[in-house]
Amino acid sequence: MHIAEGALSGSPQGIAVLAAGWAATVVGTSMGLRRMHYEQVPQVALLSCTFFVISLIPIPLGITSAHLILSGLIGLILGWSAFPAILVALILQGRIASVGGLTTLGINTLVMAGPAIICHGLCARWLDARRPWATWWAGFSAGSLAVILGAIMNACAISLAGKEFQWIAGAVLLVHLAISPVEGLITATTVGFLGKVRPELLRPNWSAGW
Amino acid sequence: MYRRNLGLIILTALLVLGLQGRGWAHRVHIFAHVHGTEIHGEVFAEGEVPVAGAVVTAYSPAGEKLSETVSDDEGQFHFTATHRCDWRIVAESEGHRATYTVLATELPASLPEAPGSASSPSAEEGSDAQPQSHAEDHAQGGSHSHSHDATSAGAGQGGDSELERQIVALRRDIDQLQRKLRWQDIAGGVGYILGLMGVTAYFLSGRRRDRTA
Repeated sequence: MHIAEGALSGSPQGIAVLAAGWAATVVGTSMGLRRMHYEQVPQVALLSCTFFVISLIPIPLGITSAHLILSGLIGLILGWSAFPAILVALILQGRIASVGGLTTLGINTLVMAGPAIICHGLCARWLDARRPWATWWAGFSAGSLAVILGAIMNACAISLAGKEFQWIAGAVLLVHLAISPVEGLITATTVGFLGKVRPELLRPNWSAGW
Repeated sequence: MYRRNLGLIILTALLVLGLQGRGWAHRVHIFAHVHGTEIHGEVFAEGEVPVAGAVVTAYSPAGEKLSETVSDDEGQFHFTATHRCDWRIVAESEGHRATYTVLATELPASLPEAPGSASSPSAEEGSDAQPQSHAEDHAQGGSHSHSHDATSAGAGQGGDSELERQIVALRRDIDQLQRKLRWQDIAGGVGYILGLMGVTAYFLSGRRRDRTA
């Protein structure tokens, strides 16, 4: 789902998309840092590391491939702190693995962290260690919805940058629609597991007023 | 027991897979070399998988489009060099992008200079400033340039074809080695994140102390 470095820089519309992405990322990261609790830092670190590694593993899908994102899981657990967690991981992916780049860092962060926040708002309230099935469905919904929303945002960003990009946008959207159930399943399994061993992590009160 | 720990098993398996150092995320790369006045290249994804149908465009240093083609079923493409300038080759496929620069010094001196071109025999800005580093994919918006003198490859001069093949193969191996993502790189990234979060925790602990004081 990463937008390639330089892919949007060739047109005024693309530059506007990049600037908007950066502005939203700055705002989201500020809010995430302000709302981050001291006790939440280990979860932020662990999920940021998970995102960093997971995004580098391709899943073959016919002639192409995609990679897991787990933005739904990150949003469910961290809330607004998903922004700094994903931003840090994307910076390191850009430097170490040459995935993405500096100019597209803002829009890439927005595309992945924005849906995480949305899914936190929609699904985190259903997380309850005493109700395993509600927790499972909340995890599945958040995991799959975050990927679909992210793919839609990615497609919109690419389309807004210029007409010639629209076919790429459609291809990215289709690929991620195919992978969304897998993300949902993994997120649901993870939150179900956390509900059994660390139920306190599922209480959506970290974000202090979503 | 297995159902309860299934999530942990899946996550651990994915992390272990990730640390194996193979099969990294779908990225596109280009490798190109010069033979006479022909620029031959190939577009491939991680794992040296050829990418067919990638749109490959060549630009002059002034940003003028010099040529455009599409990679074939084996991911290969070629251009006929019309000017002796830096050829910045950009390949795009499914939203992924790779850039490679063929330096003017690799092309025959008999070719006309491109109008307004500024050939750059040394590594460009934004790179690691290593003279032998070569073109990169879409990392920092700039491309590392091939910076070896024209005599070393003999490619542009129509030299010994067996020697030329050996040198091209060697350059391809160097390119592959430089692109390789090792488990040490992943561990370094993870360590960096943990360290950064440790610093964050330090500052947040100060805020927490102030609140409880």
